[in-house]
Amino acid sequence: MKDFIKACFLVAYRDLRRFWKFKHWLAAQLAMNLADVVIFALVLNNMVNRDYIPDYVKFMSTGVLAIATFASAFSIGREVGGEMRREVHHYLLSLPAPRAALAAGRFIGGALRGLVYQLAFIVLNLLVVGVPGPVQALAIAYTSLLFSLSMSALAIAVVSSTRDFNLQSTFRALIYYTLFFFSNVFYPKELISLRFPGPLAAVVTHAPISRAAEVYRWGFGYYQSLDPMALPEVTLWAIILLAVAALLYTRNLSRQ
Amino acid sequence: MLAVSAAVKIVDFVKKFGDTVAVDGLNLEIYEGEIFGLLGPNGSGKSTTLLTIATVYKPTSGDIYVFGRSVTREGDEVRKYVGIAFQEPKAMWVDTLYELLLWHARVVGYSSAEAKSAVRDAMERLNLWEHRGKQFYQLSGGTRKKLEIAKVLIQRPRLAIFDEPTAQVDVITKHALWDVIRELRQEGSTVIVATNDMFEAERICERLAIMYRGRLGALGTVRELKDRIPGGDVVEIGYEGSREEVERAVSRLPSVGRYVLEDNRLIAYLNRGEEKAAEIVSLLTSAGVKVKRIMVQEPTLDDVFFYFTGARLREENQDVALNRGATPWAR
Amino acid sequence: MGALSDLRTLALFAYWDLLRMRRRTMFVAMRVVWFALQVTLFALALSAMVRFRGYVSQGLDYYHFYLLGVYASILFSISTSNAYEVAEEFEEGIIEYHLSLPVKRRILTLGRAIGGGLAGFIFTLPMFGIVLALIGGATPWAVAASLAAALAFSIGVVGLVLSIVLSVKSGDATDVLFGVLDAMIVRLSTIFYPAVVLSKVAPYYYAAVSNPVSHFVDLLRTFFFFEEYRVLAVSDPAIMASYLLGFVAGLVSAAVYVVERKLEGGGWR
Repeated sequence: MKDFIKACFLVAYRDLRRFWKFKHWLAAQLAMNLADVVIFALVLNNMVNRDYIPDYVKFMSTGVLAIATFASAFSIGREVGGEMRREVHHYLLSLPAPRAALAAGRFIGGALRGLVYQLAFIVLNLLVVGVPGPVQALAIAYTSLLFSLSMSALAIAVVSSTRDFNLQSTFRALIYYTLFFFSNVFYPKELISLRFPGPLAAVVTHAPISRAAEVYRWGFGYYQSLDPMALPEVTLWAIILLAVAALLYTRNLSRQ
Repeated sequence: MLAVSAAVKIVDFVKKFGDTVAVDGLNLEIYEGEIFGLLGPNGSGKSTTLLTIATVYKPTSGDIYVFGRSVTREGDEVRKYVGIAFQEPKAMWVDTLYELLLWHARVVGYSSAEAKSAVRDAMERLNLWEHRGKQFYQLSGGTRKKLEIAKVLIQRPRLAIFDEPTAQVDVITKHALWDVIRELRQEGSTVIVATNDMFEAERICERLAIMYRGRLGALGTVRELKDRIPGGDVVEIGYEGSREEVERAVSRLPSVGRYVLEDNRLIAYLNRGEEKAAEIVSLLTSAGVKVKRIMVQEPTLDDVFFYFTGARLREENQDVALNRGATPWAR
Repeated sequence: MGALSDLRTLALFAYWDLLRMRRRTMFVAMRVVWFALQVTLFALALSAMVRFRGYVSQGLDYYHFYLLGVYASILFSISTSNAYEVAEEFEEGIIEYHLSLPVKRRILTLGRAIGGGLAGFIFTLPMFGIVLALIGGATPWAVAASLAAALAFSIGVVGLVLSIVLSVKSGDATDVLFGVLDAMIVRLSTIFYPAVVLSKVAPYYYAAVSNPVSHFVDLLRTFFFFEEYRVLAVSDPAIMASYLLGFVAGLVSAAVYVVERKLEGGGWR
């Protein structure tokens, strides 16, 4: 067990350390996420229908917290894909570490990236939206942890399914954009229910990013109440995605 | 005869990638504490075999046992014994040399403090210390290969695998690597070296296997393999005397397969040339022929390699009509 | 003979970029997904969310306004993606190879700018077709003028890309610069919102009215919704068209200058 934990820690540490190396990616991602709040939301605030969204800047700040965490946790997929193309995974597979520790370490590494990256946006939300109470703070921390863990696992499992660069990127982009757009980050669920067919509204409402964004909106005080199913759904998403991802990743790694 | 235990036992090993058969029913034993060379042309299945020993690949059928542990069923245990220097260095381009080795040292079991010292020692030994801050993509091909060697040097595994370790490296590094290999062996490690460099194989390997199209072409010590080439050695004797006497003397030696007489020189093609040369000289002297000089030339490992791979390839393709009685290099 | 040979070389360099774009199937797939989600989900949701009638007269809704914005942003994004290609070429030594060829620097640069611009333009044509279908009732004049503007814009953006990438000569710097540029230029333009809405935040307004993307997208909108849109556009149609031409000429000339004067004798970091 001690060996397992040590290997897991070392693998996670390797991914977290490397996060800083992609300065260009971080800078671009930060610019995009910040621009969504300080430019897009601020300007659009003058145009949005107040009946739906009383304050679009606050609405978007909490939403951006969800997509920032998602995007940074999801970014681990890019590297895992790169490693598979360069056959760096052969090196990882040859190391004296159990396969399960390898998978767990990578999921945790990706999750830690998400958590580290979201810190700046938590500060932004504290300044722009409000300060959470102790229960809300716990809910935010719980959601962040599970959400980033499940998104990191999802990215890793998807990208390890193929060694073809084009396919890897297409899968990643497809999932990224689907999760990104089919969420309530940019538009409230009430509007989705009004303008889109029922099943689509349900998909958007129960999507992992939507659920995380909802917890954040309630946590920082933008919403007064929280759907009682939001936190259980965040947990459920995490369990399902982690289980599937662990299976897929270990199978894909040792497929040869 | 001393009983030797197998560090690696390969049993009916088959590895397929889709429809391509990379290794086709390989059986082989590598003894504990030896330096074993794996030779073969590109695509012969060397790397696939090594990667399966290191548990990176799984056998399609058959099994490989490393110190008695099965790679199919006990992969976690096998990996505790094995360290591999890959043919193509494996790293992400953003990592620095020092970071890569430090992490490797930690993951193979060193404590934080021990890791730093072990990494520094290995880097200094391979002249890598000055490159420690460089990112992987900034390194030359040779330095990348040294990184792979450094990993095994740090790990000091019970079974060290080097997949074409000296391709792209300079002469000094080549010698440093050979020293590393010998040192590992002296410490009790078993070493497997896949190589295409015949000089390297001859210089450091105690036993060799030649793989060909996923199968074992030949196995033995360097001497044994050379002896298996029919008429492999060349004995050249300069003489003074009657050509008929020489012909008569040589015909009394059945071990001489083929010979040529020209300009008072006897050129004989045979096996175990050093032993047989004395017999020929003795026969010639007793027949009244004066022997002026003797030269014995054994086949190089290149010849061995060609014999077990290239010549066979040509035989299979039937591109060249072969004179089967003659040695490949004499044609 | 000289001019003919130059033209042939120019065509060959343009072809080089067209070939590169053809090989980027992943990028194509990614952008098609992005575009599909933008026009079906994002744009529809946004148009339901905003109050647009207060700003424009009857006949133009936010969805149609935004459709041309999506097209402009995808054309900009694909044209800037040439930056990563050029940076990669530098790392692979292809730029050095191009410089070693018996070709005038000017022709080389023009060929790359036109080729890159043409590749982005051709790649976005199906998406332009979809936008046209969704807008409906476009006049042939508006379609032809939009296509000409799109091609010019794309060439100008590739000129900008060549000028920057070949000046900074660094893969990392290219990534950072173009990541940030892509994020900022699109948001500080009139792609999502008309200039009049931006005027409530003065720095954003001035950034938007000087932004070539704003001029390009508003020119397209003016071509299609002339009467409804001309009061909202960043400027007069003639000025927007002149701005666009100046943008193309200026940035392609800048790229030629960089290649002729700055590129030689310098390495890649």
